[in-house]
Amino acid sequence: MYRYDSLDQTFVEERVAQFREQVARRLSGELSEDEFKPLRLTNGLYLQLHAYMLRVAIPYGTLSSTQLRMLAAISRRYDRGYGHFTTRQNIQFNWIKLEDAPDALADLARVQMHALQTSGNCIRNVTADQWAGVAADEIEDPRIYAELIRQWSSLHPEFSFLPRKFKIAVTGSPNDRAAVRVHDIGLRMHRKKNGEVGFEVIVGGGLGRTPMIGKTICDFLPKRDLLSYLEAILRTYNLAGRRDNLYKSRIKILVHDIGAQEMARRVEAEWSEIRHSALELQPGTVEAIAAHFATPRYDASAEAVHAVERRRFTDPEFARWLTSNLAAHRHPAYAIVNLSLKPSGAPPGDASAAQMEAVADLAERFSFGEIRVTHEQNLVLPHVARRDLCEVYDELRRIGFATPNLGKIGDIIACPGLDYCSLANARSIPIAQRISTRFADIARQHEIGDLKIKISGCINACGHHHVGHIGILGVDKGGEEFYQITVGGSADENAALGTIIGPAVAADKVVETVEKLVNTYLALRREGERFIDTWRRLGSSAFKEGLREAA
Amino acid sequence: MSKQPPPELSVVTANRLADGAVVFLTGEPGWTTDLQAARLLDESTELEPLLAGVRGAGLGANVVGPYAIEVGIVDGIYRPLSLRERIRVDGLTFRTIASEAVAYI
Repeated sequence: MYRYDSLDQTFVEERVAQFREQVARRLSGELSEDEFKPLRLTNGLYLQLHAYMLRVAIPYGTLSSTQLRMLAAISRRYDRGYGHFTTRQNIQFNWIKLEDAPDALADLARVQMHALQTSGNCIRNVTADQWAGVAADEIEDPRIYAELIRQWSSLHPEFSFLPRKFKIAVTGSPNDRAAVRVHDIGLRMHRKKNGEVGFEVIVGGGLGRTPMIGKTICDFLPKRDLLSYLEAILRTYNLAGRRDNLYKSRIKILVHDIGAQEMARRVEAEWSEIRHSALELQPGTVEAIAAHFATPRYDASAEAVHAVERRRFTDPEFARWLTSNLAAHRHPAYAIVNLSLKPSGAPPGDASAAQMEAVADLAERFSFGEIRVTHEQNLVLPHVARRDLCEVYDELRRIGFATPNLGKIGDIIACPGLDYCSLANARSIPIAQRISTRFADIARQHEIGDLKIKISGCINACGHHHVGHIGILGVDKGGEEFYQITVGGSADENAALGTIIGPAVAADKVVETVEKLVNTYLALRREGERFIDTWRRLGSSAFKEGLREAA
Repeated sequence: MSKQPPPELSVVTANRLADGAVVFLTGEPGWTTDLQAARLLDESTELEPLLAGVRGAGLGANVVGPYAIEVGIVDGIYRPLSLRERIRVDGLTFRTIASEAVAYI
């Protein structure tokens, strides 16, 4: 993992001291709320419906066990003993007191964490494939480049007041688990036939009020040119992005208005001026960062033991967990273990202090002290020896994170919604709870197969509803909660926006509607087809028919 | 949807500066976390001058963003009319996990 150098550490500590003083001045009345609000947002502190919320950055979703233990401690000391992992690989504490916020930030700084650039019109926390560095299908480890982007974008003076917020995602794998086509910039690694590795650069993707799939403006960018090219994109956007209209201020609107070709031309023109500047990555720089992400000392004799194989045949729940919650590790004796933070009936992405500490313990014992956070609101132990799988599974069961439903209908993404969020129009979490309770039967979840449900409580789309196989958007109709259902969205390498399937339904009809869509799929699917495959083959008419018939 | 009747009763709400808690303007004047102790405003109240007053240095010093919300009387107690404001008064509509718990239910 990347470790702060003395410059990083001093800077973060100075920012905490500065914010402590700002909070004191606000509490004494020296600063008005208008003066203070941008200062607290710069430090990740929002005011929500009934409390302040602190959004802590988890760079590219990578956490050490020490950091996770500190997050647990912060939730106990300053919050209500739990945290909420978000769709941007961050964690949010929902009940932080303003007067405690500087102490919470000081505790974060002790473990090399902060809440900077988790708000405001700047480059936000860079996100990445949660299996970075360990996935069997990976070309190269994207964390090295995510970290370079983090360093380049942290307090970049030119990009601290962009037209609007700016999100960058990176994947090093052909199977996109980082949703790169729905980010302001998405970076996807490719390997040429001659072995050279570089990035496909995708711009102008995004969700929210005006969802767009990003467009490729560069098919293959040499790695050494990454930062200069990103700088050229940001400069182009900073200059031409709309500052007059909040709803048209994201880069996706610029790219849509001028077209991908013209965007590429402008970026290339800017790039030609700065390509061979100090931004050009030198081998020594990249190697120094890469050293932080060196491969752990894997034990070649860590392959599965007889007990694991035997249990696969005697314990159906364990067998399902092996099938759905494990992923192929690049080392054959190891596995990527995905922790489901979606037990049926639970708020998606929430973890108690005790659960966080238990995961930190597990990481120390079985995963080289490393944990990942996923944009689908789950956690990952990235390096588990196959011989340890029974022990890890038993402990995960004890702490409620072994539900074998990864990628299944119970593995729902949901934003905090109207229960917490001052922007929301409708609740998200109770809808997720009802759906996961209805589909609690794990055997049924596996029979249904891969199906991603994503729920947002408003058009800002923090719950990524546009790219859910089934997307659910909360709307306010005359003071009542209604939910607009979309079908056919996808955030992977075949990214697509969902299609509205009919009029919005009342809150108490959402589960029924989801069930009808699932039943339609089950009735129409061909051998081996996932929900999304059947949708792509048949289109909306068959599913609309299914909704009508069952009515 | 039918048009909503004009509001008859309202109260002024805000978030407390120190911890963000939901508070209501009282007749003292001051702030309370108890909606039932809030000062009720009716159609005769001139809202804008009142809000301007509670946003100022005195009464506004320890709260953030005062605004008026509509309330009605349900079973003899004051209740906000909108779901958003009911959630602000009642809290979350689901149970969260306790800090030492390792299972949600």
